[in-house]
Amino acid sequence: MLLVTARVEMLRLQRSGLFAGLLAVFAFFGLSGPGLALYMPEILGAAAASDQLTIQAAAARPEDGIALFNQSAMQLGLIFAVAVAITSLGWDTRAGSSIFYRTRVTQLSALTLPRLLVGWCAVSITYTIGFALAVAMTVLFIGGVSMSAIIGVWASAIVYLIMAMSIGYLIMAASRRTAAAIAAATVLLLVLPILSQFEALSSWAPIALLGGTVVGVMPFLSSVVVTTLCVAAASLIASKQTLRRDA
Amino acid sequence: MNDHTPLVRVVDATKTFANGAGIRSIDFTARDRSVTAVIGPNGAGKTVLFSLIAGLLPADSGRVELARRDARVAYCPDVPQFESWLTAREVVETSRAISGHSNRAAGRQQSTRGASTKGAISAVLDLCGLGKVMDRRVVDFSRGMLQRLGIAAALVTDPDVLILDEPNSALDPIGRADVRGIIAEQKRHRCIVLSSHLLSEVEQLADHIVVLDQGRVVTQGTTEAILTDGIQPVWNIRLGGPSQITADDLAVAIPGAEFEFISSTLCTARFLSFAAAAHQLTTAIHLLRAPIIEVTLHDRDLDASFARIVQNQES
Repeated sequence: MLLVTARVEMLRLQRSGLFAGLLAVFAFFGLSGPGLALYMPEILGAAAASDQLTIQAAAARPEDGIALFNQSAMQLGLIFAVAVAITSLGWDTRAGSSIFYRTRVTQLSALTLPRLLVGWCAVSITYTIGFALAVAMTVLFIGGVSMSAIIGVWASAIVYLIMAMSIGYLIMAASRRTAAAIAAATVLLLVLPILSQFEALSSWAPIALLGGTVVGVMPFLSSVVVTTLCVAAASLIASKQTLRRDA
Repeated sequence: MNDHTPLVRVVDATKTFANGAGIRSIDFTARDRSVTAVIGPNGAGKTVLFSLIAGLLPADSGRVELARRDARVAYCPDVPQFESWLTAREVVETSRAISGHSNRAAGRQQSTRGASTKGAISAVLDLCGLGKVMDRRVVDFSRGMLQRLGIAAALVTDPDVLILDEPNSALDPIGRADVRGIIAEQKRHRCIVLSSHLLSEVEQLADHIVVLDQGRVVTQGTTEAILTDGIQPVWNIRLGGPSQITADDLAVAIPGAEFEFISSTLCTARFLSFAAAAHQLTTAIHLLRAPIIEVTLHDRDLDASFARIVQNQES
């Protein structure tokens, strides 16, 4: 049954265009991020060219190429990834499809978790492709990047994406309203960076994963904990819910 | 288990919602290898009752009992919905796979007897008239096709109890006849509980009828009992041409009976009792002196019975 459910989710991502969308978003930023870093001095110079104001930017470093990719990918790409997780529970928002699944399975998590897992894989794969493009463009046009930096940024981003998806998944499981869940998750993820402003939280809050190439262990751990709690809570909530009467 | 043994028992079940809708103190039994129809006006509580039987909603009080612990319940809602990117075949495959279907179907379900999984899926889609479109995505399906697919997805799980909520509400006449045939065939293998506003369909299919109104069971019984409950000894006599006698002359000739010509070729005859009618109806037919096309008991159909029952309830 787990494989059947996973297959249904793969078909959804493939046929609804979500996988292609994810790939396009991450690949676009993978190609454009390093280029943006490379031409940043010229872009800023042209934008601020006047007698009163002149901006001089330093020449791009290899880290800048990766950082610009990640900044862009972690905005639109992040929202896209969260939407993938949220819509994986979309069947439960409509009475007809909810009946179809809820009358056929005894453990609802056997239905929901494989779908989330497939979503995680799809986002991880597409992010990795975009990241690989960013690394290749950076190496090609700006300069070499150390392997430890590459692995650090990549692993941090993947862990953060999975955590963000899990948060969206929990909100969706609780609300069973797609648009509301996407809106709430987006607001929450936009607010999360505020945590880094508090010194006591900044060293271990998950948002630190997006901070750069050097990341401590604590943000990883806190992200894993948040992910685990979200998935467990979502499974518990889903199992307690009955058919939505207003669906 | 013997044929026609009770398979589903709803015992004093109550489920209400904040807006007052729901069902109250419902009792009824649905038997194996028979069709139990639940009829009632919109908002009577039919769908809530089905949701309780299917385990989708918990009862506030009372209970739903299945005679067999492992009895499988399949519920096809009035508006079946599926993930739109799947094909009809994939929907049925998914239904079969996630319901933990075992090979017990092979011996029970004629459509899948001795067939492989793929064969069984094709067979059930063919049975429901979707064989030619099984590889089309659900997003392109009409509502009638979705209803057929809902039935196919339910049947492929080989349920012991098949709940069909208005299974033919979106179907054309040919589709309705097809679904009627499917239900009549499937009734030989399982317990079917259905609802429909098309009472002529219910009349043809159901062995037992439960009438709901405002969340309560108004009456229940065999289809025949419901059809004849409260019925009056009134007949419609359709003639092949105008009669040679007036209604008043008929009344004089047959004391105690009343006659009315609705039109020149349709006469209504009302008798004091069914016993009186047994003798007097043939006399009336003789006196009409016109070709007789049809003699039918007035209001002997489920629509009229239902209207009578609900009106009696309200008064």
